[in-house]
Amino acid sequence: MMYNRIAVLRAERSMSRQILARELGVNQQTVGFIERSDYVPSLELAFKIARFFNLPIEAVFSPEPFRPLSEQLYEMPRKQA
Amino acid sequence: MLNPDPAKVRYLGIDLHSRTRRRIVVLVTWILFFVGMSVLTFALDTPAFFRSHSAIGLYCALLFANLFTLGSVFREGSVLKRFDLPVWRLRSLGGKQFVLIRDLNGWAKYQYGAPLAELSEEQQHEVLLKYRVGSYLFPADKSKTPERLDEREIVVRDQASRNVLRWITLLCFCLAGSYACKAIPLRPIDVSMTFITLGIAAFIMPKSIILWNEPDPRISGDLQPVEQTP
Repeated sequence: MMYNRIAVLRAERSMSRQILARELGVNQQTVGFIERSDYVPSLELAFKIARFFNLPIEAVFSPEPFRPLSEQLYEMPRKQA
Repeated sequence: MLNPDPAKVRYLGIDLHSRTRRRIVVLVTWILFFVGMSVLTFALDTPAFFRSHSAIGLYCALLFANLFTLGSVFREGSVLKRFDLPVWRLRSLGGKQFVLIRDLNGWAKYQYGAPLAELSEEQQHEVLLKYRVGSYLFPADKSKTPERLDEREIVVRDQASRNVLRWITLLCFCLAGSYACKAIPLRPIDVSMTFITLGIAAFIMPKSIILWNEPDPRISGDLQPVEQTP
């Protein structure tokens, strides 16, 4: 299982799946599958995604669930966040 | 894996974006196929003409099977994308795959994955700058053509094909066992029809599996960006 933040990163940039898919050269549904962690992308595609968002790959993909961004930003306990 | 062109995701006027509808169509098509093959087996076995001219009977069965393959919902390039895009392999370049691009829309699709009219002004400008009249071969792996299978779709296609191969192998063992035990009386027409059915199943079943499993592309579960107020 590979977790990712693609949906959040995309929403932050007000970007539709269609646009992201076109930029990555994949099908729109494939982006949906990756976002839902139903499909683990190849290393090549994972790097392409990270490069597209201009982030290191570990900021986009992780083998463990991501902590909420707010929690990471403000170091607030999960209950308060 | 469904065709990216919504107009093509239709069969006999039925919109097949919905997975439920697709499943019903797949079931009905297979039932019709098996009924057709059974009727054909019975029809070809009974009259004396077909018994004496077995080749004609076999051609009839093959014709029906081909009509089923080419005319049904499983035809490649209609509801489903083509499993393999036509590519050129140039030995002089290490057997690399190339796609033939002939027109402006082909250039736009290759570079940006959409026809020219759907691109942004900047992208249109870029395409028009690079475009040259004529037919050209471009590396297939860099193509963004929406008709091309992406890596997930290739995985899905290969997985479906592997599963079908496994089922057919198992079925062959079962049939061989049954015939060997003489549990089923064996006639020549049965053997021919079984092979034709298995051959068609090897072609069609992966497509059936994909049509059965692929989710409705319109229901994306997409996170929608908050509409910005002016």
